[in-house]
This record gives sequence, C-alpha cells and structure tokens, in this order.
Amino acid sequence: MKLGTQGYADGVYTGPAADAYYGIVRIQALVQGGRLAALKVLQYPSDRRTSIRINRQALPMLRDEAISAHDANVDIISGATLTSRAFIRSLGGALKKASS
Amino acid sequence: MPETRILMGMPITVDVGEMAGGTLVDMVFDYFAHVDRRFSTYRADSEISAINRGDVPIRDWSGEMTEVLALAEQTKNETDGYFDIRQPDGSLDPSGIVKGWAIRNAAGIVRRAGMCDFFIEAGGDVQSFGKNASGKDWSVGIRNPFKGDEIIKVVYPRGRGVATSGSYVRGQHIYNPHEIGSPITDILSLTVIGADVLEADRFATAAFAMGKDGIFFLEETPDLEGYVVDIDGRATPTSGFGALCLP
Repeated sequence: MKLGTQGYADGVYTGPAADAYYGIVRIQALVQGGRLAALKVLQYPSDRRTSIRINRQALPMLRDEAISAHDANVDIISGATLTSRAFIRSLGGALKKASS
Repeated sequence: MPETRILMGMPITVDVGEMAGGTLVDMVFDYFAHVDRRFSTYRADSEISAINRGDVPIRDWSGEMTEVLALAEQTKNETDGYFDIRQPDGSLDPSGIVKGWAIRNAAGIVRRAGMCDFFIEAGGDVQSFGKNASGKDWSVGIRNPFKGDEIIKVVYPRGRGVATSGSYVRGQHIYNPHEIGSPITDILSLTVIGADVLEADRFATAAFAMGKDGIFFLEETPDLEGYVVDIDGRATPTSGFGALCLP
C-alpha cells in the first residue's frame, strides 16, 4: 500500500486482530479511488444483537406528555453536547463579555 | 467533590468520592486526553486524521482504532444504517461513539482502583455506579432543550449509562445518513438509558437520526429505554422509562 498524502492504493486490506473489551475484532478495508470506501468487520463475538427493523404495529402505543420544569436538585445533568469548536467559540464569547 | 476539566473540547466531570486521591482523578483525565489525541478529528496529529488523509494503512491501525471502528460498523448494522461514521465528505468521524466508549473505559479504570461510588460525565453522557455522598442513588436530570438551565425529568440509572443526543445546543449535528442534506427538525432531544454509557451513546446517536421513528426503535430494542422531546414541547417516553424515574 502506498503511503503519503496521495491517499491509499486501491484494493482490499485486512487489519491486525485487536483485543477489544468484549473479544477479538478484525477489520477489512476496501480502498477505491485512493479512499476508504467501506469497512467490514471480519471477526466479531457472535453474541451481539442483530439488526432491528421498526414495526410500529407490533408495538404498544407510546403516550406523550407535555414537558414541565422539575426540581433542579440533581447530581448530574444529561443534555446534548457542544462540539469543541462550538464550545471554544461560546467560551470565547463569554470571556470577551467578561472582559468588556 | 466533583472535578470538571475541559478535554476533548467539552467539559468532563469526575466524582470518585472523598476516599480516592487526586491521582485517580488525574488518571481518568489523562485517559480522556489520550483518547482525544488518538480520535479527535480536530487535531491534525491524531490517528483518525492521519487515516482520513490516507497516511496510515489498515495494518498499522492501533488496537483502539480497530475496536472503535469495528464497534461503529457493528452499530451501523444494528441500526439499519442510521448510525454511520462516514461523513457526507467521505471522511470517518467516530465521535458519535468515542465519547461513550471513553467514558465506559474511564469508569473501568475507577472500578479497578476499587471505587464503588462514583460518576463520570462527559458532554452530557453519564456513567454512574453506587451511591452519592448522601448515600442515595445518583440522580440524572434531563435538560430542557428549550431552556438550558431547566430540568424536565429526573432518572435514577443505578449503574446503567445515560446519553442524550440533540440539536439544540450546537445546531444540527446529526445527519440522517439516508437523506443527507435534509436536517432532522422534528425532534429536539433524545435521551437513551442503556446497559452502560457506550450502549446509551451509540443508540442515542442512531435513534436521533431516525427522527420520529427513533423512540419506536428504542421501544423495540431490549435493554434500551428512551425519552424524546419534539419541537412542540411534547415528550414521549418508552414504556419502561417511567420505572427508571422512581427514586
């Protein structure tokens, strides 16, 4: 395989076996047009769940509710994240505000 | 006492209780710094950036990289392609799975050090074990996607992991890989509780990408519960979610 910034040489390549937390994994890469076109897991513990398709008819009705404010006295908060760039930008904005 | 530092471009909070020394806390933060050096797409010197440039043949990928990319591929298969680390430009961005993976591994470091009561939270994803300083189960508040300083639900994960995906803080950041270019606008925030934080994180990303169908996917999948908030301020929990809200 060719190295350098020109990308990869086309072909199918197999990576080394890696000892993951739940077993041994191995990946195969398909390179087309100098780029990684597809990855395939060759070796994987077999006790993992298989693909699931949504079949709403087979499911119970899920009831929705209006959201309402709760007592904020919790140990930890879960919410969507900021990316590094967004976070640094918002931090930068806050610092700018603080210094002006 | 919880300690927060900014690593991987986000605030990370670790609370390992009073008994553990600062060394353990440092070990946990050092681990996140290590993960960032390997997986950050924002760093030109990371392994993932080198792979995306075409600089690293697969035989030279690290064991950690192989593990994460295999997990990502597995998640793609388990979610009918809704979870996909391939970006519209063709590059690989495993950040939708690295955070949960790193928190789970960091929790393993703390457990192996003998701590039973602790939590680790990174960018809104949480793994907790044992009790808080008052001897009660750790409580996790779900943030209101319309009002960042408000909690709209409290859950008691009791050793499970919690992750929230959403579009409210940083704008649209999850693509539907099946319809690139059409943003997910009907749901704002989706919280998943799974067996651990890695399970919660990877399925939160995937279920959010499914839009309105995501909550049904969670309902159908064993060992996952969820809570979705839509743009009209309505929330839908999975049928087993309520049990996790009981103190």
